[in-house]
Amino acid sequence: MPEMTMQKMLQIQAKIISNIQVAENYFKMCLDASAVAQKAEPGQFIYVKVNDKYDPLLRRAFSVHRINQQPSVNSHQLKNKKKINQIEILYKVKGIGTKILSEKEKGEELDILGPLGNGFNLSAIRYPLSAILVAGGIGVAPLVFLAKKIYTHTLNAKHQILVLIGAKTKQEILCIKDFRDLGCEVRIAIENGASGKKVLVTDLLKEYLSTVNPEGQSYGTGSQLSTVIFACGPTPMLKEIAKINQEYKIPCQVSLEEKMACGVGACLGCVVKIANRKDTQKFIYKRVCKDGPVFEAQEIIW
Amino acid sequence: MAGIKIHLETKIGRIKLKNPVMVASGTFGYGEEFAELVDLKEIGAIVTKTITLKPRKGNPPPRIAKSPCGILNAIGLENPGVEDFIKEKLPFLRKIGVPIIVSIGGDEIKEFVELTRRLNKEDGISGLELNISCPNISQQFTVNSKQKKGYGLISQDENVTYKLVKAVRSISSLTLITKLSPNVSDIASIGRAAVKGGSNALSLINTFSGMAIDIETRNPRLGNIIGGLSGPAIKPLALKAVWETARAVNAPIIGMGGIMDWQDALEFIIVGATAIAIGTANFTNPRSAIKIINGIESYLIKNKIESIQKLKLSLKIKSE
Repeated sequence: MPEMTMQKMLQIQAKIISNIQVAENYFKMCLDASAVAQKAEPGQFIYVKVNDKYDPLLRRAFSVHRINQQPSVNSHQLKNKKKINQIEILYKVKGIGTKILSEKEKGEELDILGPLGNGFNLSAIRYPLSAILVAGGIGVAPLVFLAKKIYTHTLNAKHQILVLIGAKTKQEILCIKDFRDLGCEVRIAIENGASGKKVLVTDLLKEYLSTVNPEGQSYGTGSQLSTVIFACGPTPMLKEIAKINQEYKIPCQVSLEEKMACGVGACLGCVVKIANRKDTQKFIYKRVCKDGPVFEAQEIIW
Repeated sequence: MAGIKIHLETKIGRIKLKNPVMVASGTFGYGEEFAELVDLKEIGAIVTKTITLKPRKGNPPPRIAKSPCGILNAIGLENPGVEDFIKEKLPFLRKIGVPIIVSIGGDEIKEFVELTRRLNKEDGISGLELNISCPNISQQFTVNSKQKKGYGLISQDENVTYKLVKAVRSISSLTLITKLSPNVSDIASIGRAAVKGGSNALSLINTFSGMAIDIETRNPRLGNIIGGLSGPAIKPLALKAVWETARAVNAPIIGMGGIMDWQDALEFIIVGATAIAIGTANFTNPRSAIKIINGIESYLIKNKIESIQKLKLSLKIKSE
């Protein structure tokens, strides 16, 4: 049996600190979940049982939007010693599970598993970094945590982060302030914009890549910054990014979504097709919940 | 009720269980996936995900679809094959210290026989569960010297079930458990055939065949088109299958199908199950099995029943 200290994932009862509406159908929930928050990395998720009933039966997965350092609401000992103890999730009401979640009130408790999965890989990257974060709709949620982590990854390095956010309507473009406060440059694409012209976030990416990088040089011509794309959003968007990137071959990490059951890699319900490195004619399945949700875009068979 | 010694021990074939709560095949991986969340050594027995002779990729995604009070799945027996299982998964399972039952599957009788031969040589396996009832693959088998193919399952045919169990029995002294499909007209007769062939025990039920459609795209919600329904939605159906089969065979039954809590578990024992297995509930709460063990124990203490054996097949039916 693994020792408690070796545990990477935990099951805890997390008290709701706040649950506020941030836009029509979009909510932000803050949980008192110290043990999980301290282990969470960008791109990982928590797996939430929204009630103790049989419908909805399965848990719901939410990426970690932020981790906060606030004095614990339960403990006076921590008052002076600030400690990461809160997890924020940003979610869209899509079905019965998220509807129930949106009606939860401060003080109620949720059964959560976490942190689960493999998040964005920040260790195999050359720094300083020129990161391009591409968000589609609610896919913006894990990228705020990621941007914060990149800026704190190596403190003296001058990282640059460009965030491209796309959504159907203007009110669904979220987190602009969060990114700007961190020091990111933000550009937005609204599908049903007032101009009547349909702009996709992938158009912004294409435009940006076809011009220059933040150092004023074309990609691959000796920039001091190493460029990496991080993306989260609907599968067609991620697929398009992978396609655009075929020309540029920039390291590109994408966070996927798939219907899952166990969340811990046991049931093999949430698999995605991955290219077999040894034999390009063949493929293997990997688990979104355990091997992912973040994968290299090029290893996915779209 | 201090002082009362409660006996939760039970026996399946030659396997001694310290409590009657097992985890069902396909819902608990190879144990290690849940090791950080569950005290594995508390579980009565672990049944592995089904192993086949060669590695299997499984079905195309999506493999999971939601259903009211249930889940539809069509995994399609993805597994690394028996050699990788022995090398990569069995060492961990052996160390847990609870009986390990290896679920084996295949398309034909000879695949089950070969798998059994291979697993016979390995230490740390208490029994084999013959998965002849996975609704998400098609099994080929010979009936009346005609090759049958399609959605046919071995466990939908008494004759083939008998032959398969007999063939495995003849080469192994391991405890054999045959897992039955509910997608039949008379599950008790299939159970009888398995026991006649030499099965020490029966597991029932596997999932019910089902479908779900996205009406916007008109696509099936599962890559395999059809899948198996599990969860609390099927519990009454599973309970009836156990009740019918328990009276028809003289072999222990491992009851399963939508067991979510200790009350559900007790219902299965009262209608004749010797042990029960937790499946879908592992997904909603990884600690379900442990909670159910504790709940059964508390019930026995509260009702001054000293042994779980006293509860088995204790259904009281009012006479007119």
